Amino acid sequence: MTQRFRLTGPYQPPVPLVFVLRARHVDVIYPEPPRLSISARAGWSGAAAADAATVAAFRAVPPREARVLLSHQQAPAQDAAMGSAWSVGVPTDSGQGEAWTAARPLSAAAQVVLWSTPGVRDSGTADAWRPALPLDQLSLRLSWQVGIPTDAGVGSRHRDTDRFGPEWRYIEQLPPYRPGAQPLAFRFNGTRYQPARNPPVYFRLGRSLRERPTQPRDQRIGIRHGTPATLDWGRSLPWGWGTPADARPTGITYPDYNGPVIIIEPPVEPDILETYMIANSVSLVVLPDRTPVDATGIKVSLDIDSFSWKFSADLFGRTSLNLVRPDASGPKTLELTVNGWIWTLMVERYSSTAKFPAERFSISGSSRSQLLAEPYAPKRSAVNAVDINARQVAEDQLLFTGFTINWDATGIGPPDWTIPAAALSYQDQTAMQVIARVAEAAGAFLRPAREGDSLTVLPRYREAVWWWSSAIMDRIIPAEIITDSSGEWTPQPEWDSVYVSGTSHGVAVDVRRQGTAGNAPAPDVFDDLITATDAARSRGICEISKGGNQEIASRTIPLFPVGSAPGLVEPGMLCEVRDPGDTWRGLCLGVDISADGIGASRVSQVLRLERHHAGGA
Amino acid sequence: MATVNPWKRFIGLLPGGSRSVGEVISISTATGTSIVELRNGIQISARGVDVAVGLKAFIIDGQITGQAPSLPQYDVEV
Repeated sequence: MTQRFRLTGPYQPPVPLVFVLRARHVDVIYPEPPRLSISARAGWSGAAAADAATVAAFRAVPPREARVLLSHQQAPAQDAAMGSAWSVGVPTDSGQGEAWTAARPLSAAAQVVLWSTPGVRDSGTADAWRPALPLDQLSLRLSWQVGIPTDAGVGSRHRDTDRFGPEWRYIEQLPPYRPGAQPLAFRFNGTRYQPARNPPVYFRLGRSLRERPTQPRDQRIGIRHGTPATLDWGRSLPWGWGTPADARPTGITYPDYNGPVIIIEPPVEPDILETYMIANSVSLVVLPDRTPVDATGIKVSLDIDSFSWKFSADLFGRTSLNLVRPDASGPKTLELTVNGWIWTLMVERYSSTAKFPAERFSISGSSRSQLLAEPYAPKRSAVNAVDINARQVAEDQLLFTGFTINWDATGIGPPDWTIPAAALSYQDQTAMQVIARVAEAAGAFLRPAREGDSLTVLPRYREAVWWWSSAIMDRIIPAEIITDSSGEWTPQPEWDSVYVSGTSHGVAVDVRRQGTAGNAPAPDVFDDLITATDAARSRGICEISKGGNQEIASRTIPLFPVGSAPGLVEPGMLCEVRDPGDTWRGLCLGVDISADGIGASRVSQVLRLERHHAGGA
Repeated sequence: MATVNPWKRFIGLLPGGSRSVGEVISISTATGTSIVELRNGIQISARGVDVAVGLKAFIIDGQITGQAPSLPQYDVEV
């Protein structure tokens, strides 16, 4: 602030110039210095991914070739092209040449030693090889950059002289000037100072603030950047897990066999007891709230040519019927548990008969795999525009249905094969029809899951009939647990070869049973989907196995709880039946499970077994 | 085929459904039939004259339905 003074008369400044200012009378106003404001601006740039359009860190993986999956006798050498994972070590001194200099004769006339000891040229014993470098070293690189602050060296432009000291306040140093009512008057040597209008001299009163420490007032600098977001976090490789060619590595190397080794669990020997006492537990509940349904006469059945379990039950009372009747949300889903074996079933039909003095109610339905077929599933038409694998066809059909498919193409089969473009064509067919058609082309069948939404594709004849005597069975049925038995003779001609052919595409294969002339051919098979020899071979085994003298034998056994042999026998399983004096093997074609009675139910399963009477079965 | 499925048993009883492929030996336009030699050397007469001599034909229930391609042949022992 500038204060002007008016002096009376000419002002003669004394030499030296001395002012005596009495601080008692001097009322000075010191303004509050402007607060030092720091406008810190975050200067971080967004962390950009270095290469958002990734370059996968792996090399391009070739898609799995279906033709690679060969069956037993055509198994190729597994990844013969792999080689070793080490590059050939480069000799560091490739020019070493001979390690010895030419021996030079000491003396031609010397009798004892004609040659001097040759000098070692490279007596240095360092290794001649560099360490081999692994070729398949994982060269992992981060695909995003770490965010680098762009103005790391900026800091603040002022220098803090007293950053951590107590806060310096101006008003604590000097009391604030409070102007009074009187005008400001100076007295110089007792004379009142009157400022002139246009003075040649100005007084500037104040105090130097140079010693004032600079202190930050508002240190609220936050860091505005966090960890840069991972740009490709959700990116996944478009390839599934590779299927090992060896289903379960055993570590055993066979000197004369380089194909896949398929391990099949041997069947559990059932306990032979004098008396079997089974406390059957049967429960039928409505999902999802698990309300029990009062039911009796429960029957569940499946055969090898069906794709869903059939189910029927009798109900007590209208209350139970109301629980399971279809409503606006569609058919009700029941969960049936018999001795630990669980089925998930849909109620499709119900009936009631009112006749004095009682009412009868019954329901029937099927497993949830029925949802893939009529009348639930939409009918579709398509032709494959590109080459596709048989398993991909099945997975394609199950897309967005919630169902999954189990197809162990490298294990017990059936094999997977390539269907060339335009070979698979269907019109107005449901998903189940298409999958069943693909499976049938390779001599396979569909086994619906008891619970959960899945399908399993299995070969109808896991082992050819003429190999059953040496095959590993799935179940052992001793005579001690068989209560009823019957049989039905269903003969077929004995065949030893079959001509399996594609129609517009594919291959034509004459499948002949080993060791036979092939002069008893089965009816020719023309299937649009026989497009690879693997499929044709698998189909051929199935067709030849259908022939011969055979019977459909029925055996009734209890349904043992989960965990005790033989348990539930499902269609497609190979069973060894130990009838008294006659042990034979057969293929399970169907199973009917019935739980009768109220409370303590009588539970039994009726097995229909395909028994062949020739070929060592 | 041994099965316990009623539907499979029923369609197994139905006639027809025989499919085969043979090579056309001669064509008789007067009768509208062709002499076709099957895979095993047996000759049959099939109705239809649409496939030229020397080509393969699909025969479904004694009726020539169209020309068949020559597929690669394999022999497999099982």
